Amino acid sequence: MKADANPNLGDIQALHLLPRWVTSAPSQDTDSATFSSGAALALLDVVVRDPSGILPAGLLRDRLALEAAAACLKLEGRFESPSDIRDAVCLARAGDALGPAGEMFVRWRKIARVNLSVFSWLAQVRKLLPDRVAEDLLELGAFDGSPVAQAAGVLADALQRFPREEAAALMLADVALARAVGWERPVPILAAHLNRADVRAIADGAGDARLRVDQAMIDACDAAIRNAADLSRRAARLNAIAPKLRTKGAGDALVLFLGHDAVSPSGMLSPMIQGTTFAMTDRAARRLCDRLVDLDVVRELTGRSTFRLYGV
Amino acid sequence: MAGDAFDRELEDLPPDLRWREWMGRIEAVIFGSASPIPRSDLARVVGQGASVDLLIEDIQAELTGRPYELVAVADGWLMRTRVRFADAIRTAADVNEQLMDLNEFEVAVLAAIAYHQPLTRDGLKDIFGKDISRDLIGRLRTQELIATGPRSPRAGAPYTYLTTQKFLVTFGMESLRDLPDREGLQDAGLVS
Repeated sequence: MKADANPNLGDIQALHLLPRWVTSAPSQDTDSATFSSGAALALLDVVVRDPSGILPAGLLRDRLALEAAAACLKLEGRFESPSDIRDAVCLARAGDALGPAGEMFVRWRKIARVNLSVFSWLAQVRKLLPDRVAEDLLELGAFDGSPVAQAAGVLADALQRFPREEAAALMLADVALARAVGWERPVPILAAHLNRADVRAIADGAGDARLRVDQAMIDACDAAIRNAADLSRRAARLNAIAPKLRTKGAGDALVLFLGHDAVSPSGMLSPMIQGTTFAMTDRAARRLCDRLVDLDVVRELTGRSTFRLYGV
Repeated sequence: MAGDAFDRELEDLPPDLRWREWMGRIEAVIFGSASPIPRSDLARVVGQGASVDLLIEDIQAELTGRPYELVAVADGWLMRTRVRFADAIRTAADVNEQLMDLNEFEVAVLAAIAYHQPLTRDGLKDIFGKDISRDLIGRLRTQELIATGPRSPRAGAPYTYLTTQKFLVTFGMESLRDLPDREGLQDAGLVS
C-alpha cells in the first residue's frame, strides 16, 4: 500500500523535457532538423511505450485529440476554443447533433482510439475520414523511410490531393507515424504544431515539406513529453487517493477520469457510470467530483457554477 | 432484376463503350434523385476498379455549356440548374415554396448560426441586438435548415441551434468551409 501511495516519482521525472541539444536545432538546416526530429521522436517513443506503467495513455491521447481538433478548426476558419469544443461534446445528450466543433473532436478522439495492431484498423480509420479521402486511402500507404519521413510523405500527398481536407490529412499523418514507430494507437501530435502557413505551403508543394514537418515534430514531441509527465504525476496522485474514496462506483469513475479529457457528472457519471451498469445519482456524482477537487487530484475545468466539467 | 444479377463490370463491352455506359449510369442516378447521392452509392453501379471521380469529371466536361450542372454538395453529388438561370426559372414558374422564400433577415440569422454554431437565441440576440422571434427560428427549423444541438451551459439550459445538411445543399456548399471567411466578410463590410 505504501508503495502505491508513494509512486516512484524518479521514473516520472526521468523524462519530462527534451534535452536542449534537440530542441535548439538551427531552424533552417535540413540535416540537423531531420536528425533532431528523429531524436525527439525516439524520446517520445520511450514515454509512450511507458516501461514503468505510469502514463495514463488514454488520457494523454484524449487531451492531444482535443488540441488537434482545436488546431484543425482554426485551419478551417472556425473560432471555437478548446472549452467550446469540450462543452459541445460533454453537454450533448444522446442523439443530439454536435455541431462542427464537437464533431471534429469526436473524429480525433475516435482516431486516437483505433487499435492499430488489429486487422481491421484500416477499415476503422477509413470510417472516420470523408468519403473521397477514404476511397483513395490504399494509395496513401506507400511511403518508405524513417517514421517522420513517412508521416511527412503521407501528409504532403494527402494535402496535395485534398487541399481542403486538412484534418483528414493530419489524421493520416499521425496514423502513419504511429504505424511506423509501432505504437498501438495513434497519438495526435502533428496538427497542433503546424500553422496555417505551413499547411498551405505543404498543400501547394511550396518549399520543403519535410523541413516543416521536422520542425513541427520537434515542438510536438517536446509538448507531448511535458504533457505526459504532467499527466503521469496527476494520475499517480489520483491512484494514490483512490483507496480513500468510499463512494460506491468510485473505481469506475476514476477509470473514466483517466481516459477522458473531461468528465461531466450529470452526463457521464449519472444516472449510470458511462461504460458500466453502475447506477449513481446526480447528487452522488456531484459530491464525488467535489471530493476529488478537495483532494486536489481533479480540476473543475469551466469556472462555471453550473454545468461543471471536471478533468485530471 | 435481382441485386446480385446487376452487371457492374460490363466485361462484354469494349473499354470505351463500358466507360460511356458507366458515365450514363452515374448521370442517370444523380438526375433521378432530388437529394445528393453519396459516392459510395455511385460506386455500386460501376466496375470495382472504376474511379467515380474521373467518371464525374467526364460528365461535368460534357455538361459545359448546358444550363444545368453536376455539383458536389454536402456529402454527395447533385444535379441542378446553373445559378444564372435563376431569374428565368422564377419568372416562368412559381417555385417560391422550393426556394423557401427566405427574407434578408432570415438569411442573416441563418448566417449567424452557420458561423457561430452551436448558438442559442440569446447568442443571436447578442449578435443582432434584438430578440429573434421563436417564429423565425421555427420557420428555419420547419424548413430543416437548422436543427437543435447540445444544450447551452446557462441558466435554463436553452437549446442551441446548428445548421443542417439541407442548409449546405440549399446554399450549394460542400461543407462549412465554403462559408466566406472572416477576412472576406470584413473586406465586404459585413462584420467588424
